[in-house]
Amino acid sequence: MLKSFIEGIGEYTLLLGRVFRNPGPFRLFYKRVLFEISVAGLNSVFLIVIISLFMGAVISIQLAANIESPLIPKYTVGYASRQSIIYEFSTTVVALILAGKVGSHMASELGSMRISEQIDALEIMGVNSASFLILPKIVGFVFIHPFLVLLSMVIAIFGSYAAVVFTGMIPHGDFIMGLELDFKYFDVVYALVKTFVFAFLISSISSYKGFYVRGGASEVGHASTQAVVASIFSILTANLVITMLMLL
Amino acid sequence: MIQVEGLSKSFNGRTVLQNIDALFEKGRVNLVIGRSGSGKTVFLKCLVGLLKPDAGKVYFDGRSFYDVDRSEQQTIRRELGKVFQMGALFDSMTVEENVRFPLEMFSGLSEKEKKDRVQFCLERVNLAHAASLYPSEISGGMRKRTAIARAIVNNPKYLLCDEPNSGLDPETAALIDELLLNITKEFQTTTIIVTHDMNSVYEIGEHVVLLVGGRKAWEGHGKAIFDDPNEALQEFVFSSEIMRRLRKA
Repeated sequence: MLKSFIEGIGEYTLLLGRVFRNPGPFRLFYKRVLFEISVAGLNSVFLIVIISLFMGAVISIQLAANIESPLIPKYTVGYASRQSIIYEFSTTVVALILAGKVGSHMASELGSMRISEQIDALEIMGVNSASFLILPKIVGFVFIHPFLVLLSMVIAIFGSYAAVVFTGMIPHGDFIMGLELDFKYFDVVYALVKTFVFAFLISSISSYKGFYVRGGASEVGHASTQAVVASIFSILTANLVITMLMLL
Repeated sequence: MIQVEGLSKSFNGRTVLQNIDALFEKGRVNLVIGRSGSGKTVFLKCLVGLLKPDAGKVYFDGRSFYDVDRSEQQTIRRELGKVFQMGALFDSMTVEENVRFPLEMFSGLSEKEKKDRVQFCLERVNLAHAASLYPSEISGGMRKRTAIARAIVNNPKYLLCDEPNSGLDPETAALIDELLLNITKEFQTTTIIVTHDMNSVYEIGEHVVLLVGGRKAWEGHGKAIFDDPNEALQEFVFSSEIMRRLRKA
């Protein structure tokens, strides 16, 4: 198992070497990047909005329900909601959700192209298939993912505000005071650094899993599952490493 | 001209190709025939580097494919047109976009020249009416013809086809054969077709190589397949009931 893991890392690294080399004419590359932004990013907006709205609401309700001590000011709910959303929910949890949605799509798309010989056809034409197919996915997703995360932050904070303010659990002024309290731009920078890294990991690992599929439809499904699992594992590992590097 | 010297390939100790020598000349329809599992498709994949042979050399007009650097290999590949068994069309592109793709990638043609070239190739395979359709919307024969149009759009020097008429009715299969023969003569390509279709062998096989168990068992002209005394050839040609009955008749 360890041997195949190390071999996999090697194969992934070699693939990345091919990916970042000669993607073909810029006009075609640009078109494919726009297409990937549309497929991976814009098609995820609705999902992100719904999840963020509900999760934001749940976060603030749980905080408000658990802070009953008169010694803890009510604005703490706004402050803690903001920190949870920026630090973890909108970056890590959204990345995990997109690993499932976007990652499996990328792996199954490339896997289907592999088993139907479309990738071989590109190679025969003299096209660097790895770069032609994978680089636009990486560039497109790394570009659009931060916007999805920023959108998630805004919607989740609105959801948390609406859930506790409209129900009268926390007064409007207290919640806003908590949101503004001790706000550091570094927190957003930290979140965006994680976002870029997660986007790269999801798109490159999922593409790798799909690109090397051998077999038929069943193997494509298997590769798709593997892509999600490997992406989640790498996101969690990267999250820990980045947090230790930037916050400790 | 494509020349193969001592080509061998095995998978996990199982020999699939063994020391194959062959010469495929320009302007001729060369066929590689054999039963399923005889190594035909592996042979074709070894020719173009989709599989790396364990031993042997492949020369494209004197250029040894496995001895040149990667960029020269890419250059050779750009001189190739390949028709895959299932077409290998890009399913997110229309028929026209599929045919146009090699031009978009490599040609320095103007927009009008590209359009004219695509139109010419589509007309050449009688598919001009289906230009805006997607691969999922056309028949198997049309998919094969689209693949042929895509393979010839860049004026290839070498045309390789993997069972181009498998899964097609006899009439459509004969049309594909005729098309490949005409294209070979018209563009003077070095054409290699992998097949086990006896009709193709007889009708268009100007140079036929028979593979049996990964070895070259016979080579000659397609018209000679019924009369040549070679045992392996006779066994292959008359392996089906219908051919045995025809022989008796």
